[in-house]
Amino acid sequence: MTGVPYLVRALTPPTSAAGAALDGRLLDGAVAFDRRSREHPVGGSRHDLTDHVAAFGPRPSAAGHHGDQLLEILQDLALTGRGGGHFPVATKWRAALGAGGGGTVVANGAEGEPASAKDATLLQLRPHLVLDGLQLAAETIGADDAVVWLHEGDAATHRAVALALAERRSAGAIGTPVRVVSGPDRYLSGEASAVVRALSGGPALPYLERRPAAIEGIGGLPTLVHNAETLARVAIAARTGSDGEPSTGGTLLTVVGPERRVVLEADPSQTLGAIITGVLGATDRSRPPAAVLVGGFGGSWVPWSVLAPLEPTEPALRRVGVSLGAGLLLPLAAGGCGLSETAAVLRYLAASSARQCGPCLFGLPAMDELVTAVATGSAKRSEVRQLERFSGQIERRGACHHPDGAIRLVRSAFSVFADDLKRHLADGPCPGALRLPTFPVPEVA
Amino acid sequence: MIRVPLGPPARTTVDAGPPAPPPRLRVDPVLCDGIGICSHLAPQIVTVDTWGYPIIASAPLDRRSRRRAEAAVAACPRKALFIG
Repeated sequence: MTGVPYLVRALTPPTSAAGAALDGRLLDGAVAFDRRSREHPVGGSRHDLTDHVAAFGPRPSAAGHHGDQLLEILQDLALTGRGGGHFPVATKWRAALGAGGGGTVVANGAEGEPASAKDATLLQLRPHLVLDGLQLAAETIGADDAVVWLHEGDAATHRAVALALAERRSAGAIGTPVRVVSGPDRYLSGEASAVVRALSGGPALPYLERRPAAIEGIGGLPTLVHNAETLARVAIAARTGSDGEPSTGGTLLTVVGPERRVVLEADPSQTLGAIITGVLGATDRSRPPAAVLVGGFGGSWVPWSVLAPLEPTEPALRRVGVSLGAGLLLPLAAGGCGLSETAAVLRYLAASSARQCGPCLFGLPAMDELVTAVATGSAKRSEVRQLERFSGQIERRGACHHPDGAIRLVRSAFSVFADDLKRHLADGPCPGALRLPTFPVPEVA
Repeated sequence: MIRVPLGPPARTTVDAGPPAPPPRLRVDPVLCDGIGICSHLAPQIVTVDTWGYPIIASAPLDRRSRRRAEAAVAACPRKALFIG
């Protein structure tokens, strides 16, 4: 690496030859992980800075008027945040500029969803794409502080980011200095407001943003917190430009199979059905899962018949009333009970509350108790009505959306598994409920 | 390959956007401890949930309800209420 300067080139118009050579993909193939660890990805190779430049070309500049150009490109592409919120990136950056610019940009690699591994994959295998995106965001809004935010326990990701930063330093890469900061290994440590609060000197817990952090974040200055994949897509977009058409490009997904998790980059020509059965393997192809939990633990159950024909994009999922969230897909195991999986996930979500807001602190354990009763077949119909009452009281009443995700999980389960619900209430647990849940739900101390 | 010097950032003007929603009483749920004085001072605007935490009516404040809301804001021991 030493002696090879990392060049920054001007942001060139959309139809450049360099841009045309790129197909917009971040990865070259699927990567497999153990069900519970984000170490030792199998099937992917890491790009060092030389590989990175060979594959993608030098990083374009977003300084000066190039920042305006990049904003136009991001707006044309309709690039949205890939951490789960799917908020338009250009809108967020314009809000920061409207507030005077400056401040901090954060690459958020603290993947809150325990079953997700897409951001770990990117930071371990394509760290320079994420770091390029971080620099582009910093240049566009004039930030003088850039942060990579990680879970403290993600050792492999820490090593990969440190190595990448060292490579850039020895190549003489110019740009905003980058700090690596980490928070505790908790579900909510990667929540955007929790990141802002932690970097402001507080605990890594969500707070109520009276004004968006993009306008008034750390030290009262604009703060952009972007998911690692979002920034990698910014880095690609700055190189490819846009042809004026919205293009969601590829989407990183984590599919949780019975033995391993697979991170893959789906393109819009594939159906979610083909993607998921591809991971589950040939034996399961004739008998697809009854339903899939989509987005994350706080996501929505979707019946296979609804999900399978859809393309793997946020707009396609929005049309059926759900979100791709953080790109996590958890198929229900053959013979499994969706209500039991839901109870196990809800217990984890209740235990993962930041314990700050009353409706979440008290409401989620109350829901957990009732959903567990439903899953084990000991609940009465009146308790299901009680659950709906609690959901109505808890929804949208936290500082963050954690309780809303828990409610989405339970409501979608009761709708998709309505027949199972009836059976559990009338006859006790179904045969599937007598088996242990199969989702990789961590223990919470 | 051209090396572009890093200049000052572009400044982009933004639209004012849609008009701000009319002010209403709001609670910061992180600060709120569910003490409940607000529901006594402004019962028309604030009810409490199963666990004693305030549920605030979504209707915008009129002149009379604004006075009650201001009284609740002033009385909150946790400074959790605000109008915005």
